[in-house]
Amino acid sequence: MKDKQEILEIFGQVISGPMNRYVSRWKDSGNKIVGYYCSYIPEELFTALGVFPYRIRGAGSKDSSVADAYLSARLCTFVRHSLALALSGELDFLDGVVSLNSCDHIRRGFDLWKIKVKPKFSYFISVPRVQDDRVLFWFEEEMEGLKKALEDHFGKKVTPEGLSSAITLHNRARILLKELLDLRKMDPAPLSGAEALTVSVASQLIPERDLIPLLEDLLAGLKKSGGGQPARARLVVAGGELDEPQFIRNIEEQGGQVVADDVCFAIRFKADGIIFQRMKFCDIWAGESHNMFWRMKKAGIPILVLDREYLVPASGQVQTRVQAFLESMGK
Amino acid sequence: MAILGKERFEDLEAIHEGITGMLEIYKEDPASRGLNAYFKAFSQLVENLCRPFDDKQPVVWYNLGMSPELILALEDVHNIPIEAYPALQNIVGDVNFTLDYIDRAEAHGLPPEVCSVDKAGVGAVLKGIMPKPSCILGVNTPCDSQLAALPSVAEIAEAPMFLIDIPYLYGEREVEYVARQIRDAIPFLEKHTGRKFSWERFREICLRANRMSENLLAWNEFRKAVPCPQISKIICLMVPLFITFAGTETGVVTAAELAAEARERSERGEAAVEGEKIRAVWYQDPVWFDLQFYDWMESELKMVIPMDLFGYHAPEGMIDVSSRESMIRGLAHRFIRVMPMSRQFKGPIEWYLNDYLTLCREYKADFGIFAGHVACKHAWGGLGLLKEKSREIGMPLLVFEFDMFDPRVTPVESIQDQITQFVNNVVLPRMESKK
Amino acid sequence: MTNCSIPSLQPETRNPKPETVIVAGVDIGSTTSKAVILQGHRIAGTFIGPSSTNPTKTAEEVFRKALEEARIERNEVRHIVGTGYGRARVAFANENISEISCHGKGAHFLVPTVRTVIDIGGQDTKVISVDAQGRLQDFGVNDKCAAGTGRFLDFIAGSLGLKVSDLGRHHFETGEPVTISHMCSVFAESEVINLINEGAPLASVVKGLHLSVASRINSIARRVGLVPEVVITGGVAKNPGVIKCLEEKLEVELKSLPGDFDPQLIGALGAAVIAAEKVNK
Ligand SMILES: Nc1ncnc2c1ncn2[C@@H]1O[C@H](COP(=O)(O)OP(=O)(O)OP(=O)(O)O)[C@@H](O)[C@H]1O
Ligand code: SF4
Ligand SMILES: [Mg+2]
Repeated sequence: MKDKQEILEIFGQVISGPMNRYVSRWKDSGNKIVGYYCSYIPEELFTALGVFPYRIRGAGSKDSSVADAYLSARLCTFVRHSLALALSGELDFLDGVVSLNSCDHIRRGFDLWKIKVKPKFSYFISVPRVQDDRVLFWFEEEMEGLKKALEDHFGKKVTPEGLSSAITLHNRARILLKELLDLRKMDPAPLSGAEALTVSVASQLIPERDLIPLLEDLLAGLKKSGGGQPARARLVVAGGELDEPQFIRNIEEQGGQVVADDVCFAIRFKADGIIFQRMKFCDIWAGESHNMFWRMKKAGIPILVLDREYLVPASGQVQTRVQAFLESMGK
Repeated sequence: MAILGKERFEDLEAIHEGITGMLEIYKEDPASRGLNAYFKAFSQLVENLCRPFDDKQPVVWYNLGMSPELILALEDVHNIPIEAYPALQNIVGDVNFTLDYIDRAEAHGLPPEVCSVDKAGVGAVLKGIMPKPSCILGVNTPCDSQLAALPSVAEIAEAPMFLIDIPYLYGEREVEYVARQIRDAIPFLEKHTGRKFSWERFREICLRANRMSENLLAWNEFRKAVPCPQISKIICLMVPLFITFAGTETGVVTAAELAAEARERSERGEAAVEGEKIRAVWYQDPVWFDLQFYDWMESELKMVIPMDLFGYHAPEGMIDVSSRESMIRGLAHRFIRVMPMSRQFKGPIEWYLNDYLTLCREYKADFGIFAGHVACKHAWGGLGLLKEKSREIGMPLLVFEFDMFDPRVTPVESIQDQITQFVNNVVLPRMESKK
Repeated sequence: MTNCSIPSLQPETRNPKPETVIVAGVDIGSTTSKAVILQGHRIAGTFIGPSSTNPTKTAEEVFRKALEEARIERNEVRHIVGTGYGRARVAFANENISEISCHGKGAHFLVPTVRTVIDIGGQDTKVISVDAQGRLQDFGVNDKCAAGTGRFLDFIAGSLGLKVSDLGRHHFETGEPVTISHMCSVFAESEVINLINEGAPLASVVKGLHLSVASRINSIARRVGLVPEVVITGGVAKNPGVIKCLEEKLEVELKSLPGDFDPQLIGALGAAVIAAEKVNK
């Protein structure tokens, strides 16, 4: 059995760049792997076809200039870095890519995937950008379309048995992950926010068969070892997709502990304040940040809005703001 | 004119003065038939912005991704495009007010990188100068900025909002999807305005919308002539006209005037620019904060913009009025495939590139201009491929960065400078060598 | 800077024998480094010097100079708070506090009725709202590069061959303000040079610059909200032209510091006040 430190180190390596030991082992045994953007993707569908759904990120990109030549410097740095990896061949291990209409940036990124990167398989989901039950049917139809496209391309059918065992497998991983992240409800929490994010990001980059034992070991270890350092303040980090533990680490270095990454959990996790993070240039989260700011103000919950850029460590200014934010809460 | 309420606000005063001034200048000028028609339409828009204060009829706000046909089919309801206020202020009023709207929105927490048009809309709403809406109808196009601004507007105005999702592709299934949402919007509008949706009225509106489109298509056609018969700046004003007046008599008349002017002038062999030397397709947002820029360009460089992305009217907008169903579907076609920007940007990049190639070819452009409105991410994101296409067809492409609403980003002198340099160093030598 | 004592402002709620307690605040800013020695409620010594690439050493120096001025020995100082960009590098400090809190505390120490502090430093402009006790409630920071900061003025003044300390004087010479349309300092510089070459009076250009700084600050201020009294701190507060423009833009009267206290020292003063609070707790 591996201990906490060992597992976190493995996870840390896994998330540091596009390729990792589990993916290469998966490929070596002749399996297929398809990359996807964002979290609406039904992983079970891929697993039922024996394909590993791999979350596309930008970590490991040193420089986004190959992508910037097409996308300009006015798009969000997450998209630019992920395309930089793709254009320079570092994602060539993917047998396909699935993207979706979540924002203007990702959509333009997909153009480049199709026209320049040219993976063997590509599919674009027109996810409704309206939060309303009346358009759910459209999302379901789009998923049907994805399923059919995957089946056609990989020359297999999703069978009821295949699907149900895929669901079982993913549920197992999800339950473990949830239990792990829920440990942060403890005060003090046995897992720092940065560690928790490392775990959840890594879990999207490791095939379930390898992932589950790692999560099991980690959970058992943490349950035994118990709480960590008491925190100066318990914070929720909300906002757009965040896959960089470094960002959380910069916050936690100021003494705050990030206990959850969703505002809905703010109460459940007894949080003192909210940090809303948004990627520079991102409009989708711009409106959200504006509305959240005023809602929290009205509710009397301390909130700090921070802009960030992908793969850029927190500047002195950001550190000052976080520290001042903690001070303003009397912490 | 009744007491319109414009006295209540210095903002409206500035717009009103601007338009009255323009009408003064152009009304006696037989050579300005098109501009005259525009300014008449815009002065009606000013009245529209005032009237709800007095007649207390319900108001429906909507965004620049759609045209108002559906809303117009409710009797005695005012349709107000959220961006109309700042746009008019910027085009004919006092730019300083627009800048104030932008600053208000930023001060209220909208990040600077959000489109200035949307920030200005939010700022105008924050300032409380727009007649309060019973509800808001929106589409989530053309860009992400709409998705930042609309929910903020709804929250500030405390108004219920119905959002229509525009999908990625354009086919039977997509049209049906949007049509279904438009159908769902009708009871929403009825409920919140307390007014009945009239199918009979809707039919007449659709017929008028078609007549407007016919005129716009004809207009586009006349502008293909060499030399271009009609001035450049007239083309970039099409967007506010269409967004405000599609489906109204004003829309039909204005579009007819624009077309008539272009036709007459070309029949008489008149050119917009005496000794026209250069033609360019302006493929992005116009310089709205200073329309005199276009006059400068024409007289200084002998250069004309026969067509731009805002003036190009797509042929897919004809509404089949044979049944309720077909009308709703017709509107869906418009939302997906006719609204400028939405048409080019929310699908695959080929849509954007293909329209560009078409415009360059049909309007016999000597070069293209990517007028990079800073916040227009989906345009910037396609720039690399646009450059490649341009190289492929041997069409020089000028790229510059500015903000269509905000001269603080790039002042007009700097834009003039960049165009002059490009014309002198790239375009003219190339045209010489081709001769 | 001479010793400066402000006896009329001593709050009554303090510890019975605070006069004897000696504390210090050291503010290592992005542009200048400051130290304040506080003995009881008396400001015993201060020092301002340029920041360097070696903040630890600079902190040492400004602290020593301030001690010299106060004629106080190092070992007499009970508690030291570091603040500013280099706050973590003040090796001898007992703790560090963000400059945002410190400017609030420092301004409150001198003007107990203050509710809003605008700190215009070299790199950052902060609008700080404090409660009746001077405790930080909310704040906003500039996010648009150098626009609206001291660095912007330093840069442009330099290319005009002026000292920043002269800008205030030129502001009040005759000339209608020009509009500086660029927010970005690089573009604004060439704009300014063009204006001068075209014969615009220096006073007009300087006024235009100050207006552009004031309008950037206004947009941060609006976000936080301006509750009076409002006090301006930081080095740029020594520029009366900026103060004038700010009063116009913000439509509030700015409260001046008593006894001509140097506003650039407020961050270090606040750090010292916090140090005193720690000792007297
Ligand atoms: N006498 C003066 N008159 C006008 N301006 C001055 C004067 N002295 C300093 N300044 C301005 O003050 C600025 C420095 O202010 P300050 O010392 O408060 O900054 P800082 O604390 O180093 O920066 P920050 O707080 O952003 O890290 C300089 O950039 C300069 O423009
Ligand atoms: S951060 Fe925003 S802009 Fe970037 S990919 Fe996500 S939604 Fe799109
Ligand atoms: Mg400072």
